[in-house]
Amino acid sequence: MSQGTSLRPARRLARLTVNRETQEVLVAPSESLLETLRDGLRLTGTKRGCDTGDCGACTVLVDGAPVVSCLALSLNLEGRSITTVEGLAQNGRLTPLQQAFIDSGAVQCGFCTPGMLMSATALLAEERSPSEAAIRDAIAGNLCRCTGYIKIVEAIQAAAHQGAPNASLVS
Amino acid sequence: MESAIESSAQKGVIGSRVGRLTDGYEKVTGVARYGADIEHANCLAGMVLRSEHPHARLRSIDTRRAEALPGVKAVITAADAPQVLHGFTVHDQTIIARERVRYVGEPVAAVAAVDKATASEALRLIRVEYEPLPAVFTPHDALRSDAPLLHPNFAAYESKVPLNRYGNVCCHAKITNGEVARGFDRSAVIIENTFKTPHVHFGYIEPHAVSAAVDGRGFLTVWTSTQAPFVARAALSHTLKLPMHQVRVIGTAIGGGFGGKVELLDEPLAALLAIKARRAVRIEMSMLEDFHVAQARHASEITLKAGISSDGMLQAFEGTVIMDTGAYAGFGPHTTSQAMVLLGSPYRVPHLRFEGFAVLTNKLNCGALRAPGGPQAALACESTIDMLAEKIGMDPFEVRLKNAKRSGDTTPTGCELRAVALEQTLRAAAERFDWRRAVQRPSNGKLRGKGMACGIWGGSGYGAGATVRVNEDGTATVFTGAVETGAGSTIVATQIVAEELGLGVEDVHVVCGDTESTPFDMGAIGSRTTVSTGQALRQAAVDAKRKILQEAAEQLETRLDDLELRGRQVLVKGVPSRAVPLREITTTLTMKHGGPVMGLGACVMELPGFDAATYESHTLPSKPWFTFGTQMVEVEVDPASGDVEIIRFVAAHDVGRAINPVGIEGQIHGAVTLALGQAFSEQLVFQQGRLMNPNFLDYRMPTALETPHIETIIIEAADEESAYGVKGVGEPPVPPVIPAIANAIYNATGARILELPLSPERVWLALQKVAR
Ligand code: FES
Ligand code: FES
Repeated sequence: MSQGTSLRPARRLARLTVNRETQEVLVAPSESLLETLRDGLRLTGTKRGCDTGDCGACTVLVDGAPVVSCLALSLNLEGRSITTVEGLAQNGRLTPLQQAFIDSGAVQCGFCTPGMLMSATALLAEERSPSEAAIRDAIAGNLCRCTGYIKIVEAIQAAAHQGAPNASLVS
Repeated sequence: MESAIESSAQKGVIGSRVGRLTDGYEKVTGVARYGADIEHANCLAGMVLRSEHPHARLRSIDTRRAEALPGVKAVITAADAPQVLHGFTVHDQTIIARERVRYVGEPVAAVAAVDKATASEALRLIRVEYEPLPAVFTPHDALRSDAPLLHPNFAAYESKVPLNRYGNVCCHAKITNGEVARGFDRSAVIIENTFKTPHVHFGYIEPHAVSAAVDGRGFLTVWTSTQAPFVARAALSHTLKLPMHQVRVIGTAIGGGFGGKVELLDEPLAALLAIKARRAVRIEMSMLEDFHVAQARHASEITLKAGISSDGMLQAFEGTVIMDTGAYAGFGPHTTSQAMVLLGSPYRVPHLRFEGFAVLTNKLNCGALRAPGGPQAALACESTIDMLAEKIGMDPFEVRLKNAKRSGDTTPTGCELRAVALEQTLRAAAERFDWRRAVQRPSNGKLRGKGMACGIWGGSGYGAGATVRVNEDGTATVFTGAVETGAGSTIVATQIVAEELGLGVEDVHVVCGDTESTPFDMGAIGSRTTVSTGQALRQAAVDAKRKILQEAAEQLETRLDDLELRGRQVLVKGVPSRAVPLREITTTLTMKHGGPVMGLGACVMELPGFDAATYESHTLPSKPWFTFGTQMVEVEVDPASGDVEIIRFVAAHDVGRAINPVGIEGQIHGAVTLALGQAFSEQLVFQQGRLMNPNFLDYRMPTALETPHIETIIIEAADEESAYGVKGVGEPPVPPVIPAIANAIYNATGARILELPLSPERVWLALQKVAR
């Protein structure tokens, strides 16, 4: 019990690369990437839904691949490139995918949106014009209770027609 | 896919297709702040100790060891809370258990500590001595004369509406029209069936989160992911005994509500902790907690006896509605009353008699899940219509058309129905779906069939206020107490104000959901926002416009009637050369003459008259508006597995006037999909009052892999009582979904299923019975 005020287990400094910036952050051994992002780095765009890997709201990209951050341990991710929803737009410019979500009405409450965007970004980096089935497959792990997924699928299709999103994200 | 809109009305900003212009940017960039994202200096982590027993006396709670733990800043129990009862209709509940717990998950104590780990350790150190009491878990057990009582002193509870209450029944309602015996005498066919539906969870992806802080004077501010900040403020003021001006509730961005974030959740506990610790406190529920305490959709059992004449005219309905409302009355009297009205509302039934029982059991409290009472009533009513149609050899479409309510008809409680478009939705859906076409029988051994169902839904009223401020430069800032739940209320507000002031949507900004800086609004409940808040917004914009045009008339020395506001200019009709930029007028008003431009709007949608002789102990004899819809579905059933796949889904709904078709389509898609979950898989499973599937792995909601395309048809049958003729659309698409599918499964297989969910297992078992 350090300083007699907290029961947090001993933490250590980890070097994490998030949204192309490498930072040192104190991390407990059992800490999930979701906790580190939200509580340690104050990047609250990544959402905590279930915290058990079942809803996809916390999805981020690790070296370009979608990962549910509530199940990933931060200390395992040193040296990897982590991208969160805050890292999609650059210099205030939205990616075509983000813009398509706005234009198509693919956002309602928006709680699933960060995770959806990350899953879809990974898909569009792999496949330039994915089929509807491939899109639905890519977001199958992201629950949305508001939209019935229809406008989300349409937004991803619309973004695909405009070409791949910012490729540097998923290098 | 764009929906077909059946209207030839000219459209301006109102009626145009608008994306997420208000909240979209912040939601796609991760900037939007939801309940758990609000930051405070020095914020403590709050956690709640919840009952592990479905029914027990609280003998003692010892918090001394928790309080002594370093890092713990406050511990509260019922002893720290004012002795106040609250509740939606019946005041039967405390904010933290006092003397007794009545369901697993009920708050017993709460702590605030420097971090979550310390708070959770503190919870572990609290010793609660429970004395388990006999419990009841089903309405049938609860209704027995020797059943243990959940609330032995229920008679002392205050109720906002006089209700027949006894034993474990918190509302026994009745509706009678005509004489059912006579109706059954005239019937060629009489059938009677019992339909059952389980508890259903809201399924929002954001678990509830709240933070609270007090200032030097002891004034309280609460940031909460709520659908209704003013409801929360009233409830906090009532339960904490604080005057309203000392309580500020700020609605954060909200990760889905669907009726689950209306009544108090952890708000009063966060407030009490903050008051005691004199520091900001945040409580974030885990999903596990949220499953245990969020008010579910009522489990129901509805028995419906119905008679029809050989020419296809409905003669009589007689029914019993039983709602399992859980440990407190909650929304039970409303859901029960509402289901009874809905059962008898889509069609003309001259003779009917319904009894309804909201029954208390030792399970979580039930609430107002998107269209409460709707799917339960629709499953019974719409399955029954199909069964009757088959017995008299008539197409179910024809039976519905023959008996459909028309404008001027009434609900069973005598509430008049205006601008009824049931027939229009039936015809539009049938045309799009091509109802008369025979279903193709596939060659893969699977079975295909089609089904339809109609639905009625009534919206809520209550007060709504709005303020429109036209700034010096002619742009507008709008203030409304209605929070943006994601349903698009801020987009609609932008469109209304832009339309009235002749502005572009980019010229309008909406501030919402803060009880200190925005006018009262009842909140995002009962599909009411576009109707009620919309009315207030229009009034406020028109008020502001009047002030602008009055000033312009003076300056231009013309009559007010000759002026119009368009394209950020004040125009003299017919004299284009005399246009004045709006900003000149508003700058003058603000700085020199007349005063800053503020428009005020306020509305309460009036309740239509009703017939008090038709009912007893009923909470909802009237609603300010109703709307109708029709859905048609084609399914493919795999007889080997019982799997049901949706091949086609058509939904036709009357919205009065489509302000933003994109938003309406989104509402229909979401409502239908939510109901598909209940149709096929969703149910809260209890064993001895304990929830067996409190997570998204075991509680299966539809994913992108199971959800169909939904073809939407928007009907515009304007309601002359509301601004622009609008009716709400958030809930109306929910009720018909499940019966349409049940009817289609029957059409495909010959198996009539009366109980939800229509899981592969249940469908397969039903198929085995048909085969025999
Ligand atoms: S929060 Fe990680 S999957 Fe739900
Ligand atoms: S937009 Fe609300 S959960 Fe997807």
